[in-house]
Amino acid sequence: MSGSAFTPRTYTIWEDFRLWLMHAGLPYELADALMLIVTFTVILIFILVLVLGLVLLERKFLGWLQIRPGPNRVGPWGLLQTVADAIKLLLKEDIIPMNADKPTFVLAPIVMFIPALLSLVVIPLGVANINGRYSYIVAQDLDIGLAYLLAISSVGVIGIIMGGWASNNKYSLYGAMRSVAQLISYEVPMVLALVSVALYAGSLRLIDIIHAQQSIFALIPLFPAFIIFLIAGVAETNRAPFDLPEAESELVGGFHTEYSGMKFALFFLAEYINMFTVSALITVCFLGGWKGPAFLGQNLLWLSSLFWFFLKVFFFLLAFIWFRGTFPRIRVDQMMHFAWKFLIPVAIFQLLIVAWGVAYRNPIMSGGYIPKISVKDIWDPKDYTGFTEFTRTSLPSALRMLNDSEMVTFLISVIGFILLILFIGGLFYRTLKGFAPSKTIFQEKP
Amino acid sequence: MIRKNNNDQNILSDDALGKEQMIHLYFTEQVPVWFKLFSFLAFAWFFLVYVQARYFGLFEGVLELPTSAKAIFSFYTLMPLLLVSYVVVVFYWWLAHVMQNFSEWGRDKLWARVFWFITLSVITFILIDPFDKILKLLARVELKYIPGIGEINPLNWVFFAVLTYLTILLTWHYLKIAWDISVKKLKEWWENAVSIPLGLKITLIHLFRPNFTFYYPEQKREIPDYFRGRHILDFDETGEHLCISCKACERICPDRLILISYVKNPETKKLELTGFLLDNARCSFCGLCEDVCPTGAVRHTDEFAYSVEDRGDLILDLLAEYRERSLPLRMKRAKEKEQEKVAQIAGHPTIANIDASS
Repeated sequence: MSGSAFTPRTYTIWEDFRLWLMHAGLPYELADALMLIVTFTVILIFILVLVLGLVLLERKFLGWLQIRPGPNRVGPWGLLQTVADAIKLLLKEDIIPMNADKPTFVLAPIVMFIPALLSLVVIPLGVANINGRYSYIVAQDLDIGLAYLLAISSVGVIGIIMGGWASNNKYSLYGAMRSVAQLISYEVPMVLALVSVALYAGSLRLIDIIHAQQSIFALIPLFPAFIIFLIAGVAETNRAPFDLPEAESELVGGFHTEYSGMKFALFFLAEYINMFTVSALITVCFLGGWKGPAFLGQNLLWLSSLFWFFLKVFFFLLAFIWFRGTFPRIRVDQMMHFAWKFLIPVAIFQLLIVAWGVAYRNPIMSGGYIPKISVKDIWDPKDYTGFTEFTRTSLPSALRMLNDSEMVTFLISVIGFILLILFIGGLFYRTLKGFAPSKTIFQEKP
Repeated sequence: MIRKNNNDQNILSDDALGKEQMIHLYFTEQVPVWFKLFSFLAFAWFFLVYVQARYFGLFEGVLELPTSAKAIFSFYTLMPLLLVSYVVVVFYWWLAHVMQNFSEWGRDKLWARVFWFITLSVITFILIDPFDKILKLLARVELKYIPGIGEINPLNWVFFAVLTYLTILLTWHYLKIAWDISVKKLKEWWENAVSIPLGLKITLIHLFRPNFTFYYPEQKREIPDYFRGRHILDFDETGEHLCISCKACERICPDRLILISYVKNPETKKLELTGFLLDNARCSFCGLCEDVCPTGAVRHTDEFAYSVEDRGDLILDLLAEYRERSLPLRMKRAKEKEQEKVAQIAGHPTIANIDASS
């Protein structure tokens, strides 16, 4: 694929569906309305099934991690447990505390739930090959998908603070304040990590980010950003070990202490949707989304792409549960220090490295896109627009486009990368084999 | 040798205030009054000479004076310089102490105080630059031209050299501290980072272990023989209970929750049990009743799940329970006895008859 920053428009399977309806003889307005209804229904059903399955998965997997069977009473192997829970939540009495701020109290779960729902709009789940043309399985393919996602996910914070404030309960308010502090703090390293990805891919569109990982997953060149995003993602979804806002042992239930019934269910849904969103975003940004061998052929590309996408997402969902089963909750000060003193500097460092790689036309660091000119020519006024014009190719052809000095720089970076991996890997190996630095360093001198 | 009295340790000495607190005291509080007066006089004399020299031309025509007058004059002009220098040196020695104790590394190090004293003195010399003044006054030394720097007085090189030396020393020292801190921090971070995959590894191993838990109503744990559960009244193979109404269990019970009633059979002169009540709700399951029973009548079973809806239902009537439990056996025995009786009447030989006849 070669071109400039302006890529041709993409098609979604919903538009193909509309086209099919119009071929069948429906007027455009009707086909459009039908398309919207079908899209909405499919997404809603998808979310409900997803959340029910996710809650069950979490409880089962957490049980296995803790050497116990998990829910096993309702249905075969406890498979209907979450269904029963959902029915219970729907039928439960919906209590609003007497001294609560009623309009805010009612609005808060909605304000948290709707952005969580909207964030699913831009996530590309797969690609289908329809009559030789690629159509993407995505509700709406936005040019600014990444920025949109970040903006939408920030709105959910307002719902949390609204819920905490309106409950008129000190625990709720504490939980909400902690949550807001945490979410705002961890948004900074998260955004910095995603800026690295955007710089790497040369686009904010999620489909372009996936296409940029044609030759090599962004996980490898952007490994620090991946780790930062994983940690920040866990923190953003308020999950253990960053579950301070919902610390049961300290704050009863956090910001949703006073909520019950359907409102609580909305909070619950929003949390699990966020968990899926973060996993999907990690998959898209670092693991190439649906990329994988099309083992079912081009006609069933949609199935294999969905398979690969959900396989990767499933791994991260399991990893989140795994983290929850492993790590104890951290303190508030540790949480803030970790974000501001460790993650943000590392994220900035990663951003500098990626910027360096893009500027010096390092194809591994720039997702295989090669600007027309190198950074050393950028000050030439007649040529500086060439920096925004680039060619995206596979890794071998990108390497052929480099000149000698850039090639040397590239090789040095690759060797340095390998040495770094060997060094860190060796340290890791040595530590895991039993060498503990604390045994030598932290002993007090007599 | 006189042993040191332990009580003396509680008396605060001068040093007990600590150097950290001492440095917060004012300089003026540490020096004696005579030194304050002395320094005031020294500065007053110095400024007197200086003002005279600056505004009244004190040094004009000095060379024409006679030698004795020269000596008096030099005493009058040089003495305040000496006194002021002394005061400044004392002040700097105190200031060096403050600087030494300002950071952790300098505590209890004399060389740190000396280092600060020299640093302060050199900085003062550079600021005042008395050699330059002297050289300008005498105009004896030729200025040297150094490319890139310009004209420079060769005697000033000494000061620049000392200055460079001190700068390098300070930089090295602070870099060393920074290096130590950063190494410590990095090791700490490394330890934290490594503990994360270690923890993940442990939970991953747990994932593939068989469960510790039981599916209770379906699966039950094996109960050991020595388990002490609900009580029963035991009986022999004839169906008769073993209790001889000795009341030993009633007496030994620490909670006094056994109640036994009996009547004396006037024919056989034996005690016959008429009631055996036991309040299981208050029982501590110590097993003393079982231990003390001479015939082994009271027994603990392995039954542990017998929750009831009323607390009164936990008062066990062991005798009634025994009767209910032993009813089939007693019925069977009674039937056998009847058959035996019928057989004896009919004259058929039975095992009992044969035994009796032989």
